[in-house]
Amino acid sequence: MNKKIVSSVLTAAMALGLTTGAAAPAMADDTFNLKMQIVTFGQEFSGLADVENAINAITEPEIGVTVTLDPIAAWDLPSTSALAITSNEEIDLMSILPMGSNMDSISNYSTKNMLLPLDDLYAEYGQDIHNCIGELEKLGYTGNTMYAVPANYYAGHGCSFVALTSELEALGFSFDEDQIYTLEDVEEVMAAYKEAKGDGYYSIAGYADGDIMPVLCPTDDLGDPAIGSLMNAGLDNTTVVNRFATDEYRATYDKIRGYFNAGYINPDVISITDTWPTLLGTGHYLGAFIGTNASGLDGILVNEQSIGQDLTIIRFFEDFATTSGASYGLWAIPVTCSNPEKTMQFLNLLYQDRPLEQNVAAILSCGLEGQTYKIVETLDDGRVIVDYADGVDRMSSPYGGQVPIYGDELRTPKYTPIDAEMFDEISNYNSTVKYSKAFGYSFDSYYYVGQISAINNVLQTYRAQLAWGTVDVDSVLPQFLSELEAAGLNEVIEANQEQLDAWLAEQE
Amino acid sequence: MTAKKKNKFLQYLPFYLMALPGIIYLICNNFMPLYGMLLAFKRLDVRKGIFGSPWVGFDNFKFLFSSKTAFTIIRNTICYNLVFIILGTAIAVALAILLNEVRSKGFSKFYQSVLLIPYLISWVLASYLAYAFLAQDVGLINAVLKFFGGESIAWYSTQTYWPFILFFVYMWKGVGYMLIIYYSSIVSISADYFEAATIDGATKWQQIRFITIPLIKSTVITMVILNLGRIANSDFGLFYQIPRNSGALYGVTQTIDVYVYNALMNNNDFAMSAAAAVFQSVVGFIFILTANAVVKRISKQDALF
Repeated sequence: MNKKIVSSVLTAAMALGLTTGAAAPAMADDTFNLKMQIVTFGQEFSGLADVENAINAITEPEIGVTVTLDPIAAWDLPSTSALAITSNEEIDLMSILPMGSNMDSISNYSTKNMLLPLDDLYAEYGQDIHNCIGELEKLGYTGNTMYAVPANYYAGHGCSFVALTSELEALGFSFDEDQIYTLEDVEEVMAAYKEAKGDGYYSIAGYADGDIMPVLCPTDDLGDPAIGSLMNAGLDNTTVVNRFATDEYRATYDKIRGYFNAGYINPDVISITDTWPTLLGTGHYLGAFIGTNASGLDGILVNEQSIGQDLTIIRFFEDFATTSGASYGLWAIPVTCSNPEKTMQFLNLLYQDRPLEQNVAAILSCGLEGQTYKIVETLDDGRVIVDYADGVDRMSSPYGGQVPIYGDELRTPKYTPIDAEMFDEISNYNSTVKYSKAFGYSFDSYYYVGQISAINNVLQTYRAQLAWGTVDVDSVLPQFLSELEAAGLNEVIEANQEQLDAWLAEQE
Repeated sequence: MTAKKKNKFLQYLPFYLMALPGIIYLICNNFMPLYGMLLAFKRLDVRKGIFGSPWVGFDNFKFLFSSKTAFTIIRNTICYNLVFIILGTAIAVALAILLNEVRSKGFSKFYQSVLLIPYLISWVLASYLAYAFLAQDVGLINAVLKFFGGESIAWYSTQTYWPFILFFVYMWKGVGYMLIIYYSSIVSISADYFEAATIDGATKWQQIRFITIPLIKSTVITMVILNLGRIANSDFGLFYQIPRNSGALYGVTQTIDVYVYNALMNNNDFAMSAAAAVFQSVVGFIFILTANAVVKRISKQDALF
């Protein structure tokens, strides 16, 4: 008797489960809810629901997709994504944000098989992306597999000394921002500043994480700082070398040691955690060596705003494009995506040439007119220059990507002080900038993750002290090099050269 | 189950019930995740899951041992902990005894609170306090040195000073908490012993030596063994925040935890962090067994198992 009751209850439960299980997808019919990561700098977005609704109003009738936006702080992205995918949490469209500086990379995920290969999907649904980004497409490949799609923005970056204009004027210097100077010209200014100001003032705004070696001695690091590099930004050679062991690096280390001894660099530099704009804002520094990188010249403008002073860009190396430098924001479809076809269709939408009110990329990038921005100027082709809506600013805006990663960023609204010329400047820039011979190549590090971990740890130990001149080069550099070797750098370089040669042969 | 045994079980049942939440917590928090140790021997492939990923033997451990870093970080972890355990315990016990001798209730409370306050400060804040003393340009210590005509010292890039700085900071921050346990077992010693000793003419020092210390001995031993079990772990805040992650100091400040953190910040590899964690546990396990065996030989009743 008891058994019967139990079994009938179980059957009933099963039947119920079956019906509800079957009913769920039928109710949702064909609409796919896409979970997409968006990038913040730590703000909370109160207007998130409005933005989602505005996007849904466009995408639901068109391709049957609604979105759920998942805001994540830029610095949390790599760990959040990796944890979510490992624990099988659904993410459909994932942001990889190297920011032109190896903050993250495709290989972080592809070596763990976390990303779907996109080749087939891209061929089928990605036509508009292909038409929009052109050469930049290469950035998404590892080996012969496409894992990600980059945003359409700057391809190259430059090496420059960015100085407070007021200080330069006071010292009697003036620089033409379009001209290429030499490092000696910069040294002259730094010496003059130090002499005029004396103790407690420093010509170079240095901080622990701000490695200036890539600025003073440009290399193409082939997608990761720990796997060997092409010297001279890869513009004239394709030999992978250990950049720390080259004569160029040695000479630059000595040069920086000289700056340190001359008092251009704060002796506390390796324990300073503020970044250069904050330091310049204190009035105790003249300028900073920075890569005017893929976030571009508009990045400088934003910094001018936050410092509250004009900055002069002094270039001393012609702008160039490398894989790492051009990779600012990339979109990937992780293995936890439940509908890759629809996701690729949605991604394709972000690269289409659309009027403002129908432009999903514009909404993702800047939010909604009236709520987050107001239009200042409309160009002939429909593109707009905007300013913050009344009563809000950069940090209090109810929504604001302000990160140029959402698809075709040459069509999204741009905030003042960027002016209308910027659009053309960027297009020109990408067609005239010099490309590394290995542009688009990324090392496939699948079999070398152990070595790369060990190498990174050695870099972490020595990089800052040598790059800021706080230690004697003669005694520390040999130790650094021998530890790099022990960690397996030569082995990785050899494999890297092999892959690069194969890649180059294929490009012809 | 015999009747007697059953009876005993029933008798203790309320206690088992009381322990139940703790046991459930232990199972969920400490035992269920143990299967993750498998990950240390696998090449994680998200699509196949932890169980389906391919085995790679000890490959994940290689990054720990590929350079002489392995020796440095193990030496740092073990040696700092040994110093912390031996000197730290001695200082904490001494302070507890002194605190017990403070007759005024008010003062006793006051001192205890003052000692405890640093424990409640976060490591980040502590690192800025240390920075205020040690900064090369504007730090307090260098300002004093310069005032007396000395040379300023580059604290954050000179390894020599750091074993002392770290020990000092560790004691400053932790001693107030450590002495609570010793202080409470001293307080629980019956006052009769001390009265009898005083009548017999024992000096203060003799009372401490022949009454207080023998009576808190087993507490001290238990605490030491427990700490030895964690000898492969290090206080991340102390070793990461206080030196401000300065690369120049890694030789004397990098412990297993800090090394793993830095390595993972760079490449997010769960299999390798699992390998490091397994390695850490094995070292800790060996130490706790050894310590217990040693204690067992010296005084059997104080051993843990």
